[in-house]
Amino acid sequence: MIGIQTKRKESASLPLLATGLGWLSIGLGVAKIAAPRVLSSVIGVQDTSSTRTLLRACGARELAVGIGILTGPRRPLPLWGRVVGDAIDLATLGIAMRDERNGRGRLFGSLMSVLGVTALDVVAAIKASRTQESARAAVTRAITVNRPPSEVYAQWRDFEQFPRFMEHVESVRDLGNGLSHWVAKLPTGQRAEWQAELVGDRPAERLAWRTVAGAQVPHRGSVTFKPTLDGIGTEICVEMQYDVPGGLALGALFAQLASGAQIEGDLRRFKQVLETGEVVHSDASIHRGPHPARPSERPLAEKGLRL
Amino acid sequence: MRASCWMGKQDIRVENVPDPELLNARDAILKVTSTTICGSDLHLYNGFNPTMEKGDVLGHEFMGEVVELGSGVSNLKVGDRVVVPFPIACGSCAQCMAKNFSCCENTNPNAWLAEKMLGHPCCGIFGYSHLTGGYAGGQAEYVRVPFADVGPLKVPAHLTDEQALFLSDILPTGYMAAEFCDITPDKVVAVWGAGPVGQFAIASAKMLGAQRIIAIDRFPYRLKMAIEKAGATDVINYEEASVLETLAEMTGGRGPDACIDAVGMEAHGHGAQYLYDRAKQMAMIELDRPIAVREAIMACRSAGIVSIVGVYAGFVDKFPLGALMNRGLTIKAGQCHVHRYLQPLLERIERGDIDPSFVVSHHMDLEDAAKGYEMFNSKQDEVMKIVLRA
Ligand SMILES: NC(=O)c1ccc[n+]([C@@H]2O[C@H](COP(=O)([O-])OP(=O)(O)OC[C@H]3O[C@@H](n4cnc5c(N)ncnc54)[C@H](O)[C@@H]3O)[C@@H](O)[C@H]2O)c1
Ligand SMILES: [Zn+2]
Ligand SMILES: [Zn+2]
Repeated sequence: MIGIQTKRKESASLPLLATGLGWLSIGLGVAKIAAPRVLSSVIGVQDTSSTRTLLRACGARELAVGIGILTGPRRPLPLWGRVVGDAIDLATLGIAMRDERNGRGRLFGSLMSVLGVTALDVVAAIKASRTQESARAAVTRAITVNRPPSEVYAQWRDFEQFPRFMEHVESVRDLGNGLSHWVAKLPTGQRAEWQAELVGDRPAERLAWRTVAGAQVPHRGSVTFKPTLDGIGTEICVEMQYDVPGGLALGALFAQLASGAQIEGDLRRFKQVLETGEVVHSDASIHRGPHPARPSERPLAEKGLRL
Repeated sequence: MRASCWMGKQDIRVENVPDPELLNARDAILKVTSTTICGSDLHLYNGFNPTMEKGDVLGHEFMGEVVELGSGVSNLKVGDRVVVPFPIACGSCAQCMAKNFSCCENTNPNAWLAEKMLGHPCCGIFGYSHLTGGYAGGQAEYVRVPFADVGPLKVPAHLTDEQALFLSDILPTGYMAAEFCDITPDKVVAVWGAGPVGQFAIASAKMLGAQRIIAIDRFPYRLKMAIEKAGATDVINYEEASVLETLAEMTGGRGPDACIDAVGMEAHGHGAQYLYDRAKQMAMIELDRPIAVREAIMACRSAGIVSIVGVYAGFVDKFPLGALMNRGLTIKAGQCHVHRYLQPLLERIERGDIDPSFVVSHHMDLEDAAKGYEMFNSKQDEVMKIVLRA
C-alpha cells in the first residue's frame, strides 16, 4: 500500500498576511521577554515587578503562536490563537485604563493599535478556515492481485458487486450508458446517495469516473490495471479525489474516505473476492467494534452475512 | 462449548462460549479430539502480545473430526479425521502459490494492523491474537477452520493422535528450521532451546543427515531427551559452561556451520545484559529479549547460516549487525509454512523415520488448561509437551 498526498485550493493572499502576522508575534514576543521595562513605557503602564511578569508571560504566548503560524501559515488554529491573544491583551489594557497611575494617552494609543491588529488576525483566521473547508484531498493506494488484468477489470467494471467488498457502500445500480447510482452508509448511520458517470473506460487497462453535479460527496477517481512482470497478476492502482462536503455527518465520511484506510480495506477485500471467491471473516472481524476472538453469540442472519 | 480463554496476563480460564458456525463457504467445523500448548502460547500467556483481548479463545495446534462443511469444500467429508496447520492460508494468492503459506495475503482480516507493526501483513493464525486476524483457537471442543480445502490433512487410521498432532506446528517448524541449514553430513548444527521445537529441529537435522548436532539449554531433562530421543550428539548446559567457548572448542575454533534459534522472545540469560533486556521489555521499550539469537550470530561460523524459528514480535537492542555483515552470515527465518511439509512429514512418520509422540510428557483434560499453562510456563515436573483432550 502506498502513500497519501493532500492538495488544497490556495488563497493567494493568505500565506503573505499570515507570515507577516507570524513575524509580528515573534517580534513582540522577543521584546516582551527581553525588554519588559522599555515596552511598559511604550504601552503606557507602570513598570512594576508584576507587570514585568505579565509581559513576559504574554511574550512567551506570542512566541509560541508566532512559531505555530510560521511553520504552517495555512493552518487556521495558530491564527485563531492570535485572535484569542488579542482578546486577552484588549481586556488587560482595558483594566489598566482604570488605574490612574498609568499613562492614559499612551494606553489609548496601544488599545487602538491592538484593535487594528485584531481585525487583521480575524481576517487571516477566517480565510485559513475557509480554505480548509473547501479542501480537496487525493488518496492513492495500490495492491497486487494474482489474476490477469482482463479478469480484474471485469470484476471492477461490475459496479453492482461493489457492496460485496466496499464496507460503506450499501447498493450500486448500473443505470447503463456509463451512469450508476450509489447509496452509502455514513458513519453516523445516515445515508448518502450520488450518481457517478464513467469518464474513461479502456478494458483491462483503466477506468475513470466522477460524480455527477449535485452529489453530496463530490469525488472523482481512476483505477489502472497493469500486468505484473511475471505476467500472472495485476497491479491495481486507485486514485481518488474528494471535495470536502459541508455538514458534520458527511464530514465524518469524508475524513474516513480521505484517510486512505477505507480504500485500503476495500482493496484488500476486493483482492479476497477475486482470489478466494469471497470476503474472508474471522470470529472477531464479523463484529463492529473490538471483540474477543471467540465465536459469536448472535445468529448469523443478524450479522448480515451471506454464505 | 468449553474453550480455553485468555483473560489477561497469566490468567487462563476454561469457559462456556458459543459454538462456532460456518462463516465462509470454504469453512469446516471440527470436533477437536486433541490439542496442545505451544511455546508460542506462552508469549501470549506472559502478556507479550499487546493485541490480545480478554476472552480470546486460544490454541493453534489441534486435530479432530469434521462435523460440518461449507458448500465450497469438496475434498473432505463429515467424519474425516484431520490435523490442521496453524497458519491459515488461502491457497490462491501469489505467496500461497509460491508455497510461502504463512505469508498468505488474504487470511488476516486485521492486515492493516499487522502492516503497521511489520511493514507488510502476515497470515491469519488460529487463536493467536488480533495481530494475526482474531480467529478463535482450537483449545476448545469445536473449532471453525477456514479454507478447509487448503489446510487440513487426513490422518490415516493407524496413526494415534499423539503421532499426528504435532504435524499442526512443531514438527514442521523444527523440520523447516533444519531445512534452512542446507545440511550435508560434514556440517555441524547447533540448536538453541531444547523445548519441543528444538527437539524436532534436532531430530530433523538428523533425518537430513547431520552427523554432529549440539543442543543448548539449561534443563538437564530436556538436554537428556535431546541426546536420547532426538539424536543430538553433544549438549551444552549454559548454566554450567560458556556457550561461545564450548562451541569453539567443539568445532576447532570455527563455530557451528549452522545455528538454529528455537528459543524466541522470552529467552532466559544471566548477567547485566539479561537484566537490561528484561527491564526494557517490561517497560515495552524493547518487545523481545534476543539473547539466544545474539549468541547464535556471534557463535556461527563465518559465511554460515542462522536459522530463526523462535518467535519475535517487534524490535530488539544490541543486535550484532556488524558480525552478521562482516562475516557474511545468512539469516533465514519465518513462521512455519506448515502446508509445505504436511505430506512429506506424514510419509516420514508412516515410514517410521520419526515418531513425534516422543515429546509428549503429560496428558490432561481441556478443563485443566490453566494448570497446563502454568506447568509448561514454569517447566515443572519435567514437562515437555502437554496433550489436552477436549
Ligand atoms: N516459527 C514458527 O512457526 C514457530 C512455531 C512454533 C513455535 N515457535 C517458537 O519456538 C520457540 C520455542 O517453542 P517451544 O514450544 O519449544 O517452547 P519452550 O518454552 O518449551 O522451549 C524454549 C526452550 O528454550 C530454552 N532457553 C531459554 N533461554 C535460552 C537461552 N538463552 N539459550 C538456550 N536455550 C534457552 C528454555 O529453557 C526452553 O527449554 C518459541 O519462541 C515459539 O514461539 C515458532
Ligand atoms: Zn505452536
Ligand atoms: Zn494465500
